[in-house]
Amino acid sequence: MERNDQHYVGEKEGAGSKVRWGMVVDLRRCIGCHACSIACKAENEVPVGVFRAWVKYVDKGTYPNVTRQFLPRLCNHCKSPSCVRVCPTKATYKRGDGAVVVDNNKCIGCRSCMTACPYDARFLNAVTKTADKCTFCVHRIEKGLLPACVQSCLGRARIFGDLNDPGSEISRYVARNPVKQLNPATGNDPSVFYIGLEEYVETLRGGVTSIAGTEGLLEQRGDI
Amino acid sequence: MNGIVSYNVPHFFGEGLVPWGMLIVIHFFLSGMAAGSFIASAAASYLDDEKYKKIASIGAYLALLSIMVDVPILILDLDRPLRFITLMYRGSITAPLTWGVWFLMGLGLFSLLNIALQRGMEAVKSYKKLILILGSICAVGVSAYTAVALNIATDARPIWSNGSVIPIFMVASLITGIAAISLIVSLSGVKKGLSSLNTANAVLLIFQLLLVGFLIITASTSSQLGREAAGEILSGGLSVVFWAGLVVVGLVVPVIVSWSNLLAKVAEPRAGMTALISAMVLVGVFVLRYIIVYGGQIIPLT
Repeated sequence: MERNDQHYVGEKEGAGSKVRWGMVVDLRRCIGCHACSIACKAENEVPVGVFRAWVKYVDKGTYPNVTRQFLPRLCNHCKSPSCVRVCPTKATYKRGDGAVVVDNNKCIGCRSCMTACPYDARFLNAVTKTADKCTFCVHRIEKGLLPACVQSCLGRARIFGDLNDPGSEISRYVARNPVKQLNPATGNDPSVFYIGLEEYVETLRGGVTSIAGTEGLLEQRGDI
Repeated sequence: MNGIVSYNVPHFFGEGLVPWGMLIVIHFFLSGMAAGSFIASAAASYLDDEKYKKIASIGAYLALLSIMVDVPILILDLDRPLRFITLMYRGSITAPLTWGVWFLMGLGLFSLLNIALQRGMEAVKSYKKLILILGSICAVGVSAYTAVALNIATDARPIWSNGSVIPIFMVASLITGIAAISLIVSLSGVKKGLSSLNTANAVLLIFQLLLVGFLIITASTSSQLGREAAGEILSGGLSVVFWAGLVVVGLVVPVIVSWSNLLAKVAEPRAGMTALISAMVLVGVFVLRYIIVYGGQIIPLT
């Protein structure tokens, strides 16, 4: 696989490496097709009813002047992850390449990590009965492939790569664009960055007047 | 359509379900009862072995009994319960849960030794101070770890990350232990030492009232999320249990009754009334644990 191939992420080992995997989600390019959610479910055999990658959205305006904005979500693979700190059995750990993963042979299902994650990225896998979340598809990136959500993104809204390599596509993207992290006040320092997040946040700050969900499952309020 | 509609694909659970639920509330309550009754027993035993014999003895048994009920509940709350054993050798020192498990085990052991002590067993008599001090250290650890686990979780949960949570939980543990002993003592008809228990809880309940006030005030002035969480407690989904269960039943009425006993210098408070007030205090502490556990999870995260 060549370096200029969009599927190439570099065949770098996890442990002891100088890599810090990261992702930029360009909200200007997201069309809300949910291909990422579905690709992730298929790739990682995520059980029914739960998602490692999902898309939130908000509608704004009065007909006919209506806009819809999307917010694709996944684990932020924080530089300083609070989930790792509170895991009592070291089942959740940060790999040398920056990916935060769960060893489901060690997880006891105490759900401490779920209470500690400020981004609500974790859930309990009903099949393994352990904590589960996005892994940045480490099984794929170790083989030089892109994470499933990145590969399946129609609008190329997701850019994945090594944040420590100044020549990587993601580093150039971060250098050229104003990027934002979700809720930076948590101090977790996410490795997932967004372009156009301000617009989404501003829409929510305008005051959510009603909330809708899917399959009758409602969430109480907006986010951020 | 008018205004802003927020759609969410819920990516786990459903509405109203939280990572830490009722079993954790029960665990916090029982572990607090174990810690509080051990400390009360140790203090009684240390201050006056003869006068407070009954209190020291009831406290010792109650501490062990609470742990024996509490630990299986904690294990059952795990989604992989049989793996609890890995906590013994794989524990991460940065995790409050690891510390909690060690403190709970220590408290169980020292509660057993305390029972031997209260029964006057010769083999342990010479180690009295050591047993009471080490056991009390474990008890303080047990009462604090639950709050630390909430406190360090994440700033995105304003009720948990509030500094008042740790003293609230520690005072709540003492109150639980004293109220439970007081309930048993008054039901058993023994009046010796009952007024001392009444005095202790009268003072502690004032502290608790102030601490709960600090929690609500600081949470509601700290951030937007904090305001929303405090609003849920004061006038939202948790308001009925907060005002009725915690403020009226658990704090204000017991404070008025215990202080009127104290100020009137009642030497032997009526057993029936003491039993009732102790039961109300226990209900109040349970509600307090419930409000803090759920109040920390009531605001949706990012």
